[in-house]
Amino acid sequence: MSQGGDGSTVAHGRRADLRYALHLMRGNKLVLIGLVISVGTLLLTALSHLLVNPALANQEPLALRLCWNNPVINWGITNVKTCPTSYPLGTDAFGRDLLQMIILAVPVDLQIAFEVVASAILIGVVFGGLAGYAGGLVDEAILRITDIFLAIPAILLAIVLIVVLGRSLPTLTYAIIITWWPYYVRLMRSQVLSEKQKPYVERLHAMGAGGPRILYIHIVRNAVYPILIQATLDIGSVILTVSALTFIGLTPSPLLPELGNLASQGIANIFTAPWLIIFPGVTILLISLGFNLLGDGIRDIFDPRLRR
Amino acid sequence: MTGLQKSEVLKVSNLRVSFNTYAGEVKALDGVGLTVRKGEVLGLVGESGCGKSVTALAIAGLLPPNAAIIDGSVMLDGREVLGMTEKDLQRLRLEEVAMVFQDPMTFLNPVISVGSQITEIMSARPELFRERLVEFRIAQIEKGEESTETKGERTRLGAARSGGRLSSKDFNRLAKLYTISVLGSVRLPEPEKVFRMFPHELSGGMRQRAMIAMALVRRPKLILADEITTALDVTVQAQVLQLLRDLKAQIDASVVLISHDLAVIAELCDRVAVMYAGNVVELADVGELFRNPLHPYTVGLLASVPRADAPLSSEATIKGSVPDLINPPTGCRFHPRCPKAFDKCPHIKPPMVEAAPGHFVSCLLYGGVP
Repeated sequence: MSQGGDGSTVAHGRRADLRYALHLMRGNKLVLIGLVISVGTLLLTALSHLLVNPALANQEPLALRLCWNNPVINWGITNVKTCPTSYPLGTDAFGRDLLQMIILAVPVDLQIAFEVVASAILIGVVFGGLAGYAGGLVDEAILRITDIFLAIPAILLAIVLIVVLGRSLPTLTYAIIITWWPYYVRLMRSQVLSEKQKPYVERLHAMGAGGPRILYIHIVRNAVYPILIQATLDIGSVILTVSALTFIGLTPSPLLPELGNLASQGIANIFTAPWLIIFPGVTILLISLGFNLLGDGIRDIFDPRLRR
Repeated sequence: MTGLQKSEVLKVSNLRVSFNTYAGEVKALDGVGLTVRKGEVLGLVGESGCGKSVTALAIAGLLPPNAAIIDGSVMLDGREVLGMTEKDLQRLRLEEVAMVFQDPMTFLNPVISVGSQITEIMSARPELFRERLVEFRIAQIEKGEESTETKGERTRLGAARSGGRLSSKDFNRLAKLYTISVLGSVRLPEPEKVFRMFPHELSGGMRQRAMIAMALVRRPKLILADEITTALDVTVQAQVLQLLRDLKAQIDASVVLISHDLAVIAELCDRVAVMYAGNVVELADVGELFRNPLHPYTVGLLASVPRADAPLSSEATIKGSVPDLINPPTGCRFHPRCPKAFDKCPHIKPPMVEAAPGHFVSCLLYGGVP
């Protein structure tokens, strides 16, 4: 390839690289599991409103119709009525079909997770890049601001913000973004610090390129990969945080189909109807696990030290 | 060397640069003076640490923040470079001074294709390159070369030539065609394919050619080539040197070729400046310098080149080691190592004198003793 005048060898080389990456991926069962779960979650998100009518979530509560009707599992609980119609996972505390509610809840959590992570990447790239590249006072100022945010426990900060700003899905998202961005700024800054020492940056200076061009076109393109991997890993973590916040009651409405909220509504009946908390909980676990496995796997596969 | 003659592209005079380090003030350049004429290749030769690269960096305004310019001037095409604002310097580096670096791998951005890294130079400041690209393309079409003309291209080019607008789509296409033609002119095989390749897909020699193309695209007045063959294999070195020799005839840029390899200097340069410990000690035409070296350091340097037809002798080395530039020797900085040093040497800094026509030397043996 190094004799590279022949373009077809190059194309072949690139395709071979991709094949090798896919080969590594096939050999790694955990990544495959992560990939299946993540893609499944995304598909469910895309199709949820076709599968379930979202209006079902907002029906007037049907007078606490806790019932369990599952042909496969028998919980052996006798004081719970069986449902007139068949619900595969039973009903939730408001008498809605639990499976339908979980299907409606997955997109809500995933949307918040993506919004939080995307905003954190944006803030991280812009301000972390600036801090690392400019150095000096700018660096110091940006780092001290991240310190202030990092000094307060994240969940506590989020709780205060939601209480102050009012309970709604957007404020929930903002509150988590505000606790989340400092990590990305610091990660980006450290990447830029090491990248800006490289000779190609010196060459760009010598060619008369301006600071913004060097930073945001050249350095960021080299420095952004660890951030993207962190983002994949963080989707699961954000979902956990969102569920935790809604679980402890910071939800816009008790009727909101959201995984933490569904679990939270079920906790009062944990002994009589444990499925209310088990199924949303297992869903949270699976989604976070899936994205974490995927992120870990991508990191391993694209880590040049682990290749060859 | 009096006054700024018309043919002089670069005139560095009495340049003094220091670096502030923890250990103390490193007096890296101690009154460097040299001139580069239009179209000429000036070799800058000397040991590691003698100030060759610092001189080049100072010319391009690229000295690191801990460097202090104490005195002197760098006149580039009649304009003073020292003390320019950062904005002017950026424009200067984009238009007039191009630097080609030592190790071609690390000086290219690994995640951007070679072609994009070159066209980027033009698209960053389209107003500077617009005219040139239009002229280039019109000439290309008239010669009926290579890539086919698109519909209505000639009309649009004609309009752009007479002061009309050039759409960014057209500009990018022209920049690409121009880049490909420059990649071809540095003898990269199949330049269209190289355009799309990434740096890791090129060999060392190809990367160095791409770096040279990057300099040529800007049509600079002055090219600073810093040890460009050092990181290459000997056979590839020969190819790159051959390329430079051919390009020398085609482009009208002046070149400052920095090297510690006397063979490369002898091969390519018109004139040579020998540096020692932050001073230019001798400056002469290349033939004159190799035939008739005057300064004792130059004599030692030429004698220390290992020869295939003679055994190594300990006579052929320069005694002692490179001086500590924090506390440099007084007077002539070479006197502690000089075989011909006499009682005046530690006390008088030798001025540059013209020992023979066009042959300048800074040594008390040839004058300058009051």
